[in-house]
Amino acid sequence: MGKLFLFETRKLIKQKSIYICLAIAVALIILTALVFAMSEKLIEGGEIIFGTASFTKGALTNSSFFLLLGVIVSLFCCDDYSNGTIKNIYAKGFSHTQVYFTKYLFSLILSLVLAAVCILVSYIIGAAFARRDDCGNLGAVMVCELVTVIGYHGIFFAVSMMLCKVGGSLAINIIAPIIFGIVLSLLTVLLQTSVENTKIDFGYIWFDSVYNELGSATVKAKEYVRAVLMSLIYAGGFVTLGYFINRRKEV
Amino acid sequence: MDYVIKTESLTKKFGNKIAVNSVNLNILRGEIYGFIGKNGAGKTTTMKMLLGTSMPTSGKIELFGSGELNKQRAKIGSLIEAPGLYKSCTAYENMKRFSILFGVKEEKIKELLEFVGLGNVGNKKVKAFSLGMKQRLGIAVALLGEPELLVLDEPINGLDPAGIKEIRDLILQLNKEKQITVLVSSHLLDELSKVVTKYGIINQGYLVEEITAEELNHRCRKYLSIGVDDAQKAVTVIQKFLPNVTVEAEEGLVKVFSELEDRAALLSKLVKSGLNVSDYFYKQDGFEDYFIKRLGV
Repeated sequence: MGKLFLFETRKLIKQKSIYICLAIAVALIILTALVFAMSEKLIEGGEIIFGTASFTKGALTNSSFFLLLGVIVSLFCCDDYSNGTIKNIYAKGFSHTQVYFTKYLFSLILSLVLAAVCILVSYIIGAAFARRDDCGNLGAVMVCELVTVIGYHGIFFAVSMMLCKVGGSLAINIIAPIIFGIVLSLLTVLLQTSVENTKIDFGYIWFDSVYNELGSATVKAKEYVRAVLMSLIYAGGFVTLGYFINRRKEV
Repeated sequence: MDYVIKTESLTKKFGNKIAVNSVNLNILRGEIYGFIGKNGAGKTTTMKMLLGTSMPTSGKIELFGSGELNKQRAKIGSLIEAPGLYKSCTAYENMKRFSILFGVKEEKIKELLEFVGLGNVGNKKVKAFSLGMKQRLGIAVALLGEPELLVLDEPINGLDPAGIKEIRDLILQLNKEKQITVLVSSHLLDELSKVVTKYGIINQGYLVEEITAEELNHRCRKYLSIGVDDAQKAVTVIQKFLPNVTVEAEEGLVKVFSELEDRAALLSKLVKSGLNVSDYFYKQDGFEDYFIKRLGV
């Protein structure tokens, strides 16, 4: 297993797409900061648009992080399948289980590191250029956002390992979260227009609602719990499903 | 007996199609086993099951006398179908990655690249390699870790004649000098016949026959072909003149399966006996004829 870890580490370090996506994320953070700063100057009344804490909270959404995460996870996980090198790995006696969970571990570490970098860059830019604002327990919110990365990562990872194709994984990982959010909103509207006085919101089960709550000035304790539970359920469910489908794949 | 590969009723089904049907392979240590069959006969599927990249539907596999297949696969080097290589990396980087995975020292990389003729490719990425270069690199990867068994699926595909000879010589060298057992598949009988010590003939998923090269040579041995008007009379004359030779008769044709010291004397004897001799030459049934008969084509 140690050899597999070292192997994946080398591949990780040498994968240029990771550095490109990180550069794009940082560039988007900087651009967003510029937009916020210039917007603030245009608005009269002194409302804080570009605040340190709020900007840091929005680190992952401002950088289109999850779109880039879908790209990185697809490329990293499907690389061996698209190149045919997965045959060399299995033929040397490494089991499907070992390969699956090694890829999971490394792609998860990669995801968390990239998210942490985005958060850090946002905080530094916010601290340097933005006005001080108060957004409650910033530390708890950021930890929670990192935990949601585990949930998103689990979905992207499972899709990549089920399909084992770069193109298909990229398409699904980029488009599916957007479509899923829209479908949930549509279902909510349909339900609320057809049933009176209903407060059911299907969007409650998706990460978009978590980010909305975490982005507010005061975050209720139950939202932290919801964020963590959702991440674990999505990650656990998708990764398990992905495992059973992947192990039946022949290469 | 020291079998490196032994299978028992190995079967693979894809839906209703039986790709490999109860195959019983027996490959001894030190053999160069040639797996022969038409395209789609089941050669690659069988090899994939041996290597663990495809799961058998039923049957048993033993590698190096053990049922702990994943552990034993560490001793195998393989090249199945197109070589698995990182196309955006150089030859050296590919070898470096696999050397980490296989637990091989970096010093071996340059040695192996030189060995397969890729010592001077520099920073060229694999995606810019020719098919032959990719095959060579695939073989270099297979040789990492000094395997005890090499499984090569059509290794000469895409190679020019010089390349084919190099791979052939390489297989012989590895077998002779390092006692590496080789399982090599091909549908090019002529090339295989120059290296293998044992053949496994597979057709439509069935292992039709396992035959050593020696036995095959015996079955396809050279004979003196004599075209005559009266084959039975010719046999009588030959057996009287040369009592120790092996003779077979067909209509209009007599076959003498022995090396004769004086062919001219026999010819003279036949003619003096009143026989009309139309043909008189040495012949050998090609391996192709034998295999075609066995494959039922």
